[in-house]
Amino acid sequence: MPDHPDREQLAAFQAGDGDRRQRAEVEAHLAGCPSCAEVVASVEQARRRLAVLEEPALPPGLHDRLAAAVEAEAAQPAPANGPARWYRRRAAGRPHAHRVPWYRRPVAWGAAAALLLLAALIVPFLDRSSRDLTTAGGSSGGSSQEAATAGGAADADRIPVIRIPGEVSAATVRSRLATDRRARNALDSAGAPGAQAATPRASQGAGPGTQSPDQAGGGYRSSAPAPPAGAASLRPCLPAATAAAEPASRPLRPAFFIQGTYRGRESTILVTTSTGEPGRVDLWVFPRDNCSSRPLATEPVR
Amino acid sequence: MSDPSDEALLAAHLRGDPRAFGELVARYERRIYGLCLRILGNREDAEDATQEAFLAALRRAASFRRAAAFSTWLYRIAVNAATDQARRRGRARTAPLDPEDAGLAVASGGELGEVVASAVAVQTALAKVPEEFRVAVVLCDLYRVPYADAAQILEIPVGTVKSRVFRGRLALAECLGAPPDRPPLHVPGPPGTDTTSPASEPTDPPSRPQE
Repeated sequence: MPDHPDREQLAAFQAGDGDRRQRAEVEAHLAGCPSCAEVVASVEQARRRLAVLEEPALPPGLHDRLAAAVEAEAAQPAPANGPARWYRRRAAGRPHAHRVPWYRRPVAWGAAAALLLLAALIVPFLDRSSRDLTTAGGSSGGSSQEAATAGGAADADRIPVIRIPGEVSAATVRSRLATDRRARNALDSAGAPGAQAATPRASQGAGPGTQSPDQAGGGYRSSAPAPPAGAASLRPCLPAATAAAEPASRPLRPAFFIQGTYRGRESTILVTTSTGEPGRVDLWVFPRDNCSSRPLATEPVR
Repeated sequence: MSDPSDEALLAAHLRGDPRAFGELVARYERRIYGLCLRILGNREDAEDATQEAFLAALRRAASFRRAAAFSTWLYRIAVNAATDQARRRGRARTAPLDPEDAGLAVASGGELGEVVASAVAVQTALAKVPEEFRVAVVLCDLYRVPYADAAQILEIPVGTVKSRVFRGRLALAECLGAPPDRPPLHVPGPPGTDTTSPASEPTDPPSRPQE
């Protein structure tokens, strides 16, 4: 008996490939080789058993959630800027061939150079405050929670609070970051070397009455003014999240809070970036306005 | 047949028709959700991945080329969204979670339209198949995507698709355990005494060893 056919050959055989001679060879081998015949038979059986999996029904609420997310992504109000509007302009039907790539535009080069220069000028100044803040928010581990609370206290008052009616998930936060300039600013300034010294959140004030910004789009309909978010009650959130975080991702930097529903439960959600892992974004779920215990859940946003 | 094609709807969307993309979502949401659910194994992740997939499709709508069918293009985006979600989720589970927050417990697999014990067993076994093979099996065996289209979706050669499907089925068979009428894989031995015929397999009660 010749060598056993390898899995590629068996796969091809099972997929119906090969000319008559090749198939006859494999068939002859299978007829005389119980172990190969066993492999082919169990593979065929597995394929049949898959038939018990019917197409699942769409979970209740998912259709609405998708519609809202798509609407929020696509239907930006005119004054907004950001990726979605850029997309709309392009989508409005200008053929690709007529667009000048950004790197061929002198203005783009000028702008890029200006940004670089600006960054070079600003970063050294920001760096100092960043150090201060990371020590404050970042002292980690369960035992140092008290110490961290002191650091988190002042910060919590300056972290924006965003209300999202309805269910919040990592995907909601992602689409929010794509469409909501305020959320993105908060994240960018949390991730920037300047961290919490950044002005946008200082000007936002904490919780009371803070609402979704206009840029949120039609998808998330924010209705009544938010009840006071209770800045004081949010102060322990960062230390609690830090204590629960993987050591590699510490220290965490707070970007913004979300008041919303997480898996059906009224929650306060802290969104953080990570100094340890740049680019990482996590959400930390607490009972509404109550960060006194460890997070109920955490999810990576990206 | 007055319904516009998927491609026509996408073109209408790109011309500014505000309802066209929503129509595409309505056409595909169940399929994309199912695809993500079979790849990811739990509802929460599948919902997130489904949303990501449609948002990504929306962002990239202008880059759609008619060389491929819309469904092939969308499946590719969805498979990428699902595998990205799996990667993110793989990193997520290290933080302490409150187990009573049941929604977070990983992969109950209980989101099947009708919870049939054997379907749960198959879904559970499927979740143990290595992702690369699982995706191929889900596309080709569950969604009946032709091998050539799966090759486009996964951006790999057709032969590789066939090989992955084969290996995926083999891994699935191993995860499901040996059927009662034959000995376990690779362990030579006399046929079992159980006379259950293979044809009745799918509706068997889950009496065989499972983990």
